[in-house]
Amino acid sequence: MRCDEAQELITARVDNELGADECAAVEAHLTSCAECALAFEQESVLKRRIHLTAQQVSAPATLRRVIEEKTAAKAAATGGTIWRSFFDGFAFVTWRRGFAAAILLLIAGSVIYTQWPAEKHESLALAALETHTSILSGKTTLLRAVNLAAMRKELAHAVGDRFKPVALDLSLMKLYPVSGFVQNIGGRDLLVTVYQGDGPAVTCFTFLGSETDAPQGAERFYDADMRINYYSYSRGDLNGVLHQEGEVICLLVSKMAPADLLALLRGKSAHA
Amino acid sequence: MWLRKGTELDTTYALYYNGPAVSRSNARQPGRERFSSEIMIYLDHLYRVAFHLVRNDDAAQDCVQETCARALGAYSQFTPGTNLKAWLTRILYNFFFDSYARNKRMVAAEDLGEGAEAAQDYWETVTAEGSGPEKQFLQQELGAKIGAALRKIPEEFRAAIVLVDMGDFSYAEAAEILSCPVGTVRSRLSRGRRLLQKQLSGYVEKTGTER
Repeated sequence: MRCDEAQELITARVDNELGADECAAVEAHLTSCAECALAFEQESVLKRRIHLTAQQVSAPATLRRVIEEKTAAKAAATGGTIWRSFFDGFAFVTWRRGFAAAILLLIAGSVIYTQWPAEKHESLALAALETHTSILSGKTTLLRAVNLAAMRKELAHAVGDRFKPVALDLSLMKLYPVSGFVQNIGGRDLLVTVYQGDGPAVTCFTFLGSETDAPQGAERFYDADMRINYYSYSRGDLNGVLHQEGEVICLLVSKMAPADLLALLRGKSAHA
Repeated sequence: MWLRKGTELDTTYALYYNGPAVSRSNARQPGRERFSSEIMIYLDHLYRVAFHLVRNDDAAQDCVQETCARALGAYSQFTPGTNLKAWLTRILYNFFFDSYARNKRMVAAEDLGEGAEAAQDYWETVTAEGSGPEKQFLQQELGAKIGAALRKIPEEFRAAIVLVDMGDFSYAEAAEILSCPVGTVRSRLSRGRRLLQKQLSGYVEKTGTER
């Protein structure tokens, strides 16, 4: 065996990855070649040193805590609801049959959706108010996003990068993005970003839609400079303002006065 | 409000969503909480691998968080009783490869000799007969030096070393994680270690034994 042929075999010998025949051949070479014997010894030392080096590195406590919190929250989010019972039952059904049934339901739902758009759209705008209320009341527990850029990227990725969550700079109002998630209402995905701080919290919904998503009775404001329609609506002490940009609807919900919300949305559009 | 089944969406929910929701896969695999706790067992390992792959603490933490989220999202795809450590590491490596390694220009192995002189000086300062605390200190210094040398090695060689020497994976497991033949792992390891030895030549060439 030549020394250059032995090189990789020496590596494998160091790692105990050789079969009996190869091992015997390498051992024979090592006894007759001092240079390769030294190389074997050096590589063995290096391997042990690398292993020891690895042991010096451990996961930071903050990382451990963040992951523990997220996995615990995930577990909490997936238990104890009426939906859980429903899907527990669902599990007993043959999966493929269930899937086929779901496809049929989806098709049926789509037909109903296209035949009855007004009510469907209105339910979406109003459901957004409910989501905001749920966040304020603590029923929807927010997980603090560690990396906001990554969060936005993940949210966009969750909807197949068909659209991205609208990013608002509300720092002048001392409001900052703290969390985000995907909500499915009426078969449509909404990217939800929550802004909290000193002032009234603002929840921003981004989704694919049209101006027909504005609920009936919403007030329309036309910005002649930007050539954009804005729609404002209120239920109780909650206010919503939305507008369309291309195929994407941006909806802000807050207890903030409608005029202030409108100013936020117009400011965002001016800087878009 | 409900959770759609699917890895991608589940991943997002795991990271940022904690509202009333349910995954259909939950009902089929009751051991989700146990699965979460088993993941935590390998957290040090995952961070270690990520840290030496991405060479940056923040990026390593992102890598591990993403890995855990993806693992939880896809846990129904894991077969109980098989190698969870390897499964997690493969998720981590795939994420690393997609996010960091793909399209990244590899450093030519020939360009890696510049640190050798400094390394030689360093190794010569390491005394053979140190007291306990001193030895411990020197071991930490040694670790830092090896870590630094490892960072200068092209990703394909570094990954093999990180998996086999640091992660204690067999060649077959490393090949599975890296999606390459076993022979390639052996070849990359051999070349990678030689590059490392070049970086740490003062230590390895002079003594051939551990200090």
